[in-house]
Amino acid sequence: MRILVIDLEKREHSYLEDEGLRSRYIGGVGINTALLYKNIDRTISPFDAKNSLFFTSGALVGTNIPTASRCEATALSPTGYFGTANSGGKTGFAIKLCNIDSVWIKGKSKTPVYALINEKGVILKDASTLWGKDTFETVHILKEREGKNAEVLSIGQAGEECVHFASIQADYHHSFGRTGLGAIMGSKKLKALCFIGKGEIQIRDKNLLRAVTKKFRERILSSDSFGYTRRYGSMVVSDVYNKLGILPGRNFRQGSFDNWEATRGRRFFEEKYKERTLACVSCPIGCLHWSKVKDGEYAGYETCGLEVTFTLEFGAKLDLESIPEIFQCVELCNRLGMDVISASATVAYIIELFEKGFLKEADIGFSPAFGDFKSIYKLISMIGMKEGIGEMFGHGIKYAVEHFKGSESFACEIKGLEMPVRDPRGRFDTWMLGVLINTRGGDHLRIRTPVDDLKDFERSYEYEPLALSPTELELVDMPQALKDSILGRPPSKVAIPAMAKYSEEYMTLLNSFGLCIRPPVLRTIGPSLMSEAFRAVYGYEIDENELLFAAERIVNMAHLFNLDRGLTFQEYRYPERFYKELEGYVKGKRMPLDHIRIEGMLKAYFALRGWDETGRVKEETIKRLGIE
Amino acid sequence: MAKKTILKNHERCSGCMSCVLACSLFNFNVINPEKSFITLDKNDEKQSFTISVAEGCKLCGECITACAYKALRWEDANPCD
Repeated sequence: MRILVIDLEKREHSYLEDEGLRSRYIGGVGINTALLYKNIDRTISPFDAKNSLFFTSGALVGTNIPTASRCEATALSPTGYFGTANSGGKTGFAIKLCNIDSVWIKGKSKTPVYALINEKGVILKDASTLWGKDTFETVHILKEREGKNAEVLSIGQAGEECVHFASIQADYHHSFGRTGLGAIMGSKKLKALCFIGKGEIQIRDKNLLRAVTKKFRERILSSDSFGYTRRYGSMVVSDVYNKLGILPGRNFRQGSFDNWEATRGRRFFEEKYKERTLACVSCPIGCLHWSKVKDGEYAGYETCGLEVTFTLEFGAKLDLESIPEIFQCVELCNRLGMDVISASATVAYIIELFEKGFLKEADIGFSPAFGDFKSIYKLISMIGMKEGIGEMFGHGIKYAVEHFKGSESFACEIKGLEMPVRDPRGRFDTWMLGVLINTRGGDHLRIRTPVDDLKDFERSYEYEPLALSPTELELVDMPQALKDSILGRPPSKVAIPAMAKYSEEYMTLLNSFGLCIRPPVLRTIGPSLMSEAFRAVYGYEIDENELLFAAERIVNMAHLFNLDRGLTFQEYRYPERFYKELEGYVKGKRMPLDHIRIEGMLKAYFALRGWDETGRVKEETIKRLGIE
Repeated sequence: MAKKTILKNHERCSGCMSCVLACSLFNFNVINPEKSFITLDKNDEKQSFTISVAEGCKLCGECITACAYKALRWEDANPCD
């Protein structure tokens, strides 16, 4: 385990070797959490020079194990809490080819710089001519300057301006999107990291790796969701979200749209726009698309996408019907270096503020509206550049709501992070409890169950039905004892708080090993296969239960960090809209959520974690997990 | 018997590099794209790839096994497989 430490203030670099970190924290988010927990002063502001930014490749990245491509970036977020984001593409592999596993960025530079990194070391170079440029321009210039195969991580104007939800863009189309890590990079005057390593990755047991790789691949390719995911990518769920009424339409006021499938559905997208399949390093699924607009105003335009998140955010939350217009909004966010979800949520909040009279045309400079591409595009740009009202809203919804008393019920953020893609009233399941317990705030990507099926059911809060067939369930790689305790014996239904705990640990493992979280992986690859892969690549004999224990420790450390930063039980709450308003969808109305019942589920989850009723970690839990 | 050759379908290449990784690992015991007989040349603007097989390739077939997109195949393999 080799960490490259770059001190921007002293303009020097060094290497840390620590094999103990690998066996205890695995890689990716696990290593980053440990580094953050041990090294970041809990009292500082996120933009303090003492904040650090960590990048760590997943432990299996750089091998041919299917989907092992992913890399994690972590820092104290502008939200004030644990900030972390994950990206695929080639970044994790490029880091490993510099003969390192992690990059730890310390301090602040006085002037804009970029770091050129290879297996021999680091050169900090002047970036004053890059400052002010968007990420596409930055990547293009650095590839011309440093070599066309360079892997470039960069920030755009949003990161430079410390927009609280600025992203770090990897190459042109991949993002470390959530929790504003681009703003941390911007505060350090670090415009880009440029990896040009030509190193080597050693494998402990080549024959075992071959066998494990084969097993991973056979399981992923035989998953019932593989064919659909190859064909539609993440857009596979676009239609079912509409049917279930879980779209975040018009700032979570409309769960379905009558013309959704005809304008933003998966088949419509595939037939009209998709040209080719693309993939991250080592991935046999290929959920990425290269797409082309063939007619209309944007005829000839080509891009990477469409991801369902883009469709749900710009297509539903902001009600843009046209896929080419959605593409334009995504490219603008990518160029400015801004998280698509938070940007869209903030624009939705501004439009609803305007509709309800909190903001006037004179405050904004024009009249914004849902479904109106021009005003939406302009607002995204104003936020990313912090122009006009973009100055205030660039601090995020949690900050802005202080200026608009009475708008709290539709200010859609949790723990300072803007809410994403799904309306919890449409289907309250493990995934939706997960949005409340997620250590990075209002986010849907850290608690996903391996048995989720996205079918409709009557809300119970405590349980969701188990619709997998016995054969499908057999494929799910999850310790049998946990299957029995969470799903019942024989398996019948999913106990939501217990599955939320398991799913959080399971996804922590995926994000530590650098594996993908798409359904063909979720349904087939679990702790026992990860254990085999860990042995093949590093020689560690760590079984599935020990891996889950390590993940439990990692989750607790992230949570303890948040508690030290002042997190309270009151922040585990959806905005009032979700508890008071009915949600309309194709089949009628969904009832508001029951706050008391959800609080009960949170407390059940806390108890399973060994936390008290307010979410404080009990001393005995800290001791059991061996956290110092 | 005619010598086997590897046929490339650049259009099908997803850029996943599984062929590159497999080649270097199974021929040189390390993962190092510089050592692989296979290289992918990426066109950034179109996100498309051109596959090249260097001289010296041992025709071991690891790259073909690794490719999940059928971008590589033996010359005599049925293209519809």
